[in-house]
Amino acid sequence: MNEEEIYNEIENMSLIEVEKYLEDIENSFEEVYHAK
Amino acid sequence: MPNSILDKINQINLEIEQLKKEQEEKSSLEKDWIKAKIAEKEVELADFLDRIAIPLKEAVKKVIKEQSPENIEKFIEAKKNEKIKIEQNLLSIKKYREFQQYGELLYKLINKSIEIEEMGSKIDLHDGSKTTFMNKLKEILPKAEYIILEKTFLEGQESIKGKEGIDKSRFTRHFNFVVAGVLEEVMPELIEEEKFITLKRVEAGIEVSQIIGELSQDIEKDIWKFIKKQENKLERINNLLSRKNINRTVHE
Repeated sequence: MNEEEIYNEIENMSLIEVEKYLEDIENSFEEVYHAK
Repeated sequence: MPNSILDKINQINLEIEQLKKEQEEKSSLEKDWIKAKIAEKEVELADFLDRIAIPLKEAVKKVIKEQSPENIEKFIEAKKNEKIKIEQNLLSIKKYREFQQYGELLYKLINKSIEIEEMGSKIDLHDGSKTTFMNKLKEILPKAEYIILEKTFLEGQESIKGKEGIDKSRFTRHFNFVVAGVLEEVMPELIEEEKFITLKRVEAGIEVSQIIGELSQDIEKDIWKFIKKQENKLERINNLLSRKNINRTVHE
Protein backbone atom coordinates (compact mmCIF):
# COMPACT_ATOMS: atom_id res chain seq x y z
CA MET A 1 0.00 0.00 0.00
CA ASN A 2 1.33 3.39 -0.87
CA GLU A 3 0.65 6.84 0.54
CA GLU A 4 -2.02 7.65 -2.03
CA GLU A 5 -3.97 4.47 -1.35
CA ILE A 6 -3.86 5.12 2.38
CA TYR A 7 -4.78 8.75 1.85
CA ASN A 8 -7.79 7.75 -0.28
CA GLU A 9 -8.96 5.57 2.55
CA ILE A 10 -8.74 8.26 5.22
CA GLU A 11 -9.21 11.55 3.40
CA ASN A 12 -12.87 11.90 4.35
CA MET A 13 -12.42 10.94 7.96
CA SER A 14 -12.64 13.31 10.89
CA LEU A 15 -9.65 13.59 13.23
CA ILE A 16 -11.36 11.32 15.72
CA GLU A 17 -11.92 8.74 13.01
CA VAL A 18 -8.30 9.00 11.88
CA GLU A 19 -7.22 8.46 15.45
CA LYS A 20 -9.48 5.42 15.70
CA TYR A 21 -8.02 4.13 12.40
CA LEU A 22 -4.50 4.39 13.84
CA GLU A 23 -5.55 2.89 17.15
CA ASP A 24 -7.09 -0.13 15.44
CA ILE A 25 -3.82 -0.74 13.63
CA GLU A 26 -1.86 -0.31 16.84
CA ASN A 27 -4.14 -2.68 18.73
CA SER A 28 -3.98 -5.39 16.09
CA PHE A 29 -0.22 -5.12 16.06
CA GLU A 30 -0.20 -5.37 19.84
CA GLU A 31 -2.30 -8.51 19.65
CA VAL A 32 0.21 -10.11 17.31
CA TYR A 33 3.01 -9.03 19.64
CA HIS A 34 1.26 -10.39 22.74
CA ALA A 35 0.43 -13.67 21.01
CA LYS A 36 4.15 -14.39 20.55
CA MET B 1 -14.85 2.42 8.22
CA PRO B 2 -12.43 0.77 5.75
CA ASN B 3 -8.99 -0.10 7.07
CA SER B 4 -6.92 -2.05 4.55
CA ILE B 5 -3.82 -1.96 6.75
CA LEU B 6 -5.72 -3.54 9.61
CA ASP B 7 -7.18 -6.15 7.23
CA LYS B 8 -3.73 -7.05 5.99
CA ILE B 9 -2.29 -7.39 9.54
CA ASN B 10 -5.27 -9.54 10.57
CA GLN B 11 -4.94 -11.69 7.47
CA ILE B 12 -1.24 -12.44 8.09
CA ASN B 13 -1.93 -13.02 11.76
CA LEU B 14 -4.70 -15.45 10.90
CA GLU B 15 -2.34 -17.37 8.61
CA ILE B 16 0.21 -17.54 11.43
CA GLU B 17 -2.43 -18.83 13.86
CA GLN B 18 -3.55 -21.43 11.33
CA LEU B 19 0.03 -22.63 10.85
CA LYS B 20 0.51 -22.85 14.61
CA LYS B 21 -2.58 -25.06 14.86
CA GLU B 22 -1.28 -27.29 12.06
CA GLN B 23 2.08 -27.46 13.80
CA GLU B 24 0.51 -29.06 16.87
CA GLU B 25 -1.01 -31.85 14.83
CA LYS B 26 1.92 -32.70 12.57
CA SER B 27 4.95 -35.00 12.87
CA SER B 28 8.30 -33.53 13.91
CA LEU B 29 9.59 -33.40 10.30
CA GLU B 30 6.55 -31.48 9.13
CA LYS B 31 6.74 -29.33 12.25
CA ASP B 32 10.11 -27.95 11.15
CA TRP B 33 8.66 -27.06 7.79
CA ILE B 34 5.71 -25.28 9.40
CA LYS B 35 8.04 -23.49 11.83
CA ALA B 36 9.92 -22.11 8.83
CA LYS B 37 6.62 -21.04 7.25
CA ILE B 38 5.63 -19.23 10.47
CA ALA B 39 8.97 -17.42 10.52
CA GLU B 40 8.39 -16.43 6.87
CA LYS B 41 4.97 -15.02 7.73
CA GLU B 42 6.37 -13.09 10.67
CA VAL B 43 8.97 -11.56 8.41
CA GLU B 44 6.21 -10.73 5.91
CA LEU B 45 4.31 -8.94 8.65
CA ALA B 46 7.36 -7.03 9.85
CA ASP B 47 8.17 -6.04 6.23
CA PHE B 48 4.62 -4.88 5.67
CA LEU B 49 4.69 -2.74 8.80
CA ASP B 50 8.04 -1.28 7.76
CA ARG B 51 6.74 -0.53 4.28
CA ILE B 52 3.58 1.24 5.38
CA ALA B 53 5.02 3.23 8.31
CA ILE B 54 6.16 6.28 6.29
CA PRO B 55 3.28 6.38 3.77
CA LEU B 56 0.84 6.08 6.66
CA LYS B 57 2.48 8.93 8.54
CA GLU B 58 2.50 11.12 5.43
CA ALA B 59 -1.13 10.35 4.56
CA VAL B 60 -2.24 11.14 8.12
CA LYS B 61 -0.28 14.41 8.09
CA LYS B 62 -1.98 15.38 4.84
CA VAL B 63 -5.45 14.69 6.25
CA ILE B 64 -4.69 16.65 9.42
CA LYS B 65 -3.45 19.63 7.43
CA GLU B 66 -6.69 19.68 5.46
CA GLN B 67 -8.84 19.97 8.58
CA SER B 68 -10.55 23.28 9.24
CA PRO B 69 -9.73 25.19 12.46
CA GLU B 70 -13.26 24.34 13.66
CA ASN B 71 -12.59 20.65 13.22
CA ILE B 72 -9.32 20.92 15.07
CA GLU B 73 -11.07 22.78 17.85
CA LYS B 74 -13.74 20.07 17.96
CA PHE B 75 -11.05 17.42 18.16
CA ILE B 76 -9.32 19.20 21.03
CA GLU B 77 -12.65 19.51 22.86
CA ALA B 78 -13.28 15.80 22.36
CA LYS B 79 -9.82 15.02 23.71
CA LYS B 80 -10.46 17.15 26.80
CA ASN B 81 -13.62 15.17 27.48
CA GLU B 82 -11.83 11.93 26.86
CA LYS B 83 -9.15 12.98 29.31
CA ILE B 84 -11.74 13.50 32.04
CA LYS B 85 -13.29 10.12 31.28
CA ILE B 86 -9.94 8.32 31.36
CA GLU B 87 -8.98 9.98 34.62
CA GLN B 88 -12.28 8.87 36.15
CA ASN B 89 -11.78 5.37 34.79
CA LEU B 90 -8.31 5.12 36.21
CA LEU B 91 -9.46 6.41 39.53
CA SER B 92 -12.27 3.85 39.65
CA ILE B 93 -9.96 1.03 38.73
CA LYS B 94 -7.41 2.08 41.31
CA LYS B 95 -10.13 2.43 43.92
CA TYR B 96 -11.45 -0.92 42.88
CA ARG B 97 -8.07 -2.49 43.38
CA GLU B 98 -7.64 -0.98 46.81
CA PHE B 99 -11.19 -1.78 47.76
CA GLN B 100 -10.88 -5.35 46.70
CA GLN B 101 -7.50 -5.83 48.26
CA TYR B 102 -6.93 -7.66 45.12
CA GLY B 103 -3.41 -8.75 45.82
CA GLU B 104 -4.48 -10.29 49.09
CA LEU B 105 -7.24 -12.19 47.38
CA LEU B 106 -4.89 -13.61 44.78
CA TYR B 107 -2.42 -14.56 47.49
CA LYS B 108 -5.19 -16.24 49.41
CA LEU B 109 -6.41 -18.13 46.36
CA ILE B 110 -2.98 -19.29 45.36
CA ASN B 111 -2.29 -20.51 48.88
CA LYS B 112 -5.68 -22.13 48.96
CA SER B 113 -4.96 -23.84 45.69
CA ILE B 114 -2.01 -25.60 47.31
CA GLU B 115 -4.33 -26.99 49.95
CA ILE B 116 -6.85 -27.97 47.31
CA GLU B 117 -4.16 -29.72 45.38
CA GLU B 118 -2.96 -31.58 48.46
CA MET B 119 -6.52 -32.63 49.07
CA GLY B 120 -6.88 -33.55 45.40
CA SER B 121 -3.97 -35.93 45.65
CA LYS B 122 -5.73 -37.77 48.46
CA ILE B 123 -8.90 -38.46 46.52
CA ASP B 124 -9.41 -40.06 43.17
CA LEU B 125 -10.35 -37.16 40.91
CA HIS B 126 -10.22 -39.30 37.83
CA ASP B 127 -13.32 -41.23 38.74
CA GLY B 128 -15.32 -38.21 37.62
CA SER B 129 -16.88 -37.78 41.02
CA LYS B 130 -17.91 -34.18 41.11
CA THR B 131 -19.66 -34.54 44.42
CA THR B 132 -16.65 -36.05 46.15
CA PHE B 133 -14.51 -33.27 44.86
CA MET B 134 -16.92 -30.55 45.87
CA ASN B 135 -17.46 -32.02 49.31
CA LYS B 136 -13.75 -32.27 49.93
CA LEU B 137 -13.36 -28.74 48.67
CA LYS B 138 -15.91 -27.53 51.18
CA GLU B 139 -14.12 -29.30 54.00
CA ILE B 140 -11.04 -27.20 53.52
CA LEU B 141 -12.80 -23.95 52.75
CA PRO B 142 -14.55 -22.74 55.87
CA LYS B 143 -17.84 -20.95 55.53
CA ALA B 144 -16.23 -17.61 56.34
CA GLU B 145 -14.15 -17.85 53.22
CA TYR B 146 -17.16 -18.62 51.10
CA ILE B 147 -18.66 -15.39 52.31
CA ILE B 148 -15.49 -13.34 51.78
CA LEU B 149 -15.13 -14.65 48.27
CA GLU B 150 -18.77 -14.15 47.47
CA LYS B 151 -18.62 -10.58 48.70
CA THR B 152 -15.43 -9.88 46.77
CA PHE B 153 -16.90 -11.34 43.64
CA LEU B 154 -20.11 -9.33 43.86
CA GLU B 155 -18.27 -6.12 44.66
CA GLY B 156 -15.82 -6.80 41.87
CA GLN B 157 -18.64 -7.20 39.39
CA GLU B 158 -20.33 -4.09 40.66
CA SER B 159 -17.24 -1.94 40.44
CA ILE B 160 -16.41 -2.88 36.85
CA LYS B 161 -19.99 -2.44 35.70
CA GLY B 162 -20.07 0.10 32.89
CA LYS B 163 -16.33 0.72 32.91
CA GLU B 164 -15.17 1.24 29.39
CA GLY B 165 -12.23 -0.79 28.17
CA ILE B 166 -12.45 -3.82 30.40
CA ASP B 167 -13.48 -7.05 28.81
CA LYS B 168 -16.16 -7.66 31.40
CA SER B 169 -17.33 -11.02 30.19
CA ARG B 170 -13.78 -12.32 30.15
CA PHE B 171 -13.08 -10.88 33.58
CA THR B 172 -16.22 -12.39 34.99
CA ARG B 173 -15.50 -15.72 33.38
CA HIS B 174 -12.03 -15.83 34.87
CA PHE B 175 -13.29 -14.75 38.21
CA ASN B 176 -15.96 -17.40 38.09
CA PHE B 177 -13.34 -19.99 37.35
CA VAL B 178 -11.33 -18.95 40.34
CA VAL B 179 -14.22 -19.08 42.73
CA ALA B 180 -15.90 -22.04 41.08
CA GLY B 181 -16.72 -24.51 43.77
CA VAL B 182 -16.38 -21.91 46.51
CA LEU B 183 -19.53 -20.18 45.36
CA GLU B 184 -21.39 -23.33 44.60
CA GLU B 185 -23.84 -22.81 47.42
CA VAL B 186 -24.52 -19.13 46.97
CA MET B 187 -24.51 -18.63 43.22
CA PRO B 188 -25.09 -22.00 41.65
CA GLU B 189 -26.73 -20.77 38.47
CA LEU B 190 -23.98 -18.29 37.71
CA ILE B 191 -21.06 -20.60 38.00
CA GLU B 192 -22.52 -23.85 36.73
CA GLU B 193 -20.74 -23.74 33.39
CA GLU B 194 -17.43 -22.53 34.76
CA LYS B 195 -17.49 -25.06 37.54
CA PHE B 196 -18.10 -27.81 35.03
CA ILE B 197 -15.18 -26.72 32.85
CA THR B 198 -12.89 -26.39 35.85
CA LEU B 199 -13.87 -29.82 37.07
CA LYS B 200 -13.31 -31.27 33.62
CA ARG B 201 -9.79 -29.86 33.68
CA VAL B 202 -9.22 -31.28 37.15
CA GLU B 203 -10.53 -34.63 36.04
CA ALA B 204 -8.24 -34.49 33.05
CA GLY B 205 -5.36 -34.39 35.52
CA ILE B 206 -4.50 -30.70 35.40
CA GLU B 207 -3.35 -29.51 38.79
CA VAL B 208 -5.74 -27.17 40.54
CA SER B 209 -2.92 -24.82 41.50
CA GLN B 210 -2.02 -24.57 37.82
CA ILE B 211 -5.60 -23.72 36.85
CA ILE B 212 -5.95 -21.09 39.55
CA GLY B 213 -2.46 -19.77 38.93
CA GLU B 214 -3.18 -19.32 35.21
CA LEU B 215 -6.45 -17.59 35.87
CA SER B 216 -5.01 -15.29 38.50
CA GLN B 217 -2.25 -14.28 36.11
CA ASP B 218 -4.76 -13.66 33.35
CA ILE B 219 -6.84 -11.38 35.55
CA GLU B 220 -3.76 -9.53 36.72
CA LYS B 221 -2.54 -9.15 33.14
CA ASP B 222 -5.92 -7.89 31.95
CA ILE B 223 -6.12 -5.25 34.63
CA TRP B 224 -2.55 -4.08 34.20
CA LYS B 225 -2.89 -4.05 30.42
CA PHE B 226 -5.98 -1.89 30.77
CA ILE B 227 -4.35 0.51 33.24
CA LYS B 228 -1.19 0.79 31.13
CA LYS B 229 -3.20 1.50 28.02
CA GLN B 230 -5.30 4.14 29.74
CA GLU B 231 -2.22 5.78 31.24
CA ASN B 232 -0.50 5.88 27.86
CA LYS B 233 -3.59 7.39 26.32
CA LEU B 234 -3.76 9.97 29.06
CA GLU B 235 -0.13 10.89 28.55
CA ARG B 236 -0.71 11.35 24.83
CA ILE B 237 -3.75 13.51 25.44
CA ASN B 238 -1.91 15.59 28.03
CA ASN B 239 0.90 16.18 25.54
CA LEU B 240 -1.60 17.07 22.87
CA LEU B 241 -3.46 19.45 25.10
CA SER B 242 -0.48 21.24 26.55
CA ARG B 243 -0.74 24.67 24.94
CA LYS B 244 2.70 24.87 23.43
CA ASN B 245 2.23 21.48 21.81
CA ILE B 246 -1.24 21.83 20.32
CA ASN B 247 -0.23 23.34 17.02
CA ARG B 248 2.90 21.27 16.64
CA THR B 249 1.09 17.99 17.37
CA VAL B 250 -1.91 18.67 15.21
CA HIS B 251 0.02 20.07 12.30
CA GLU B 252 2.96 17.71 12.28
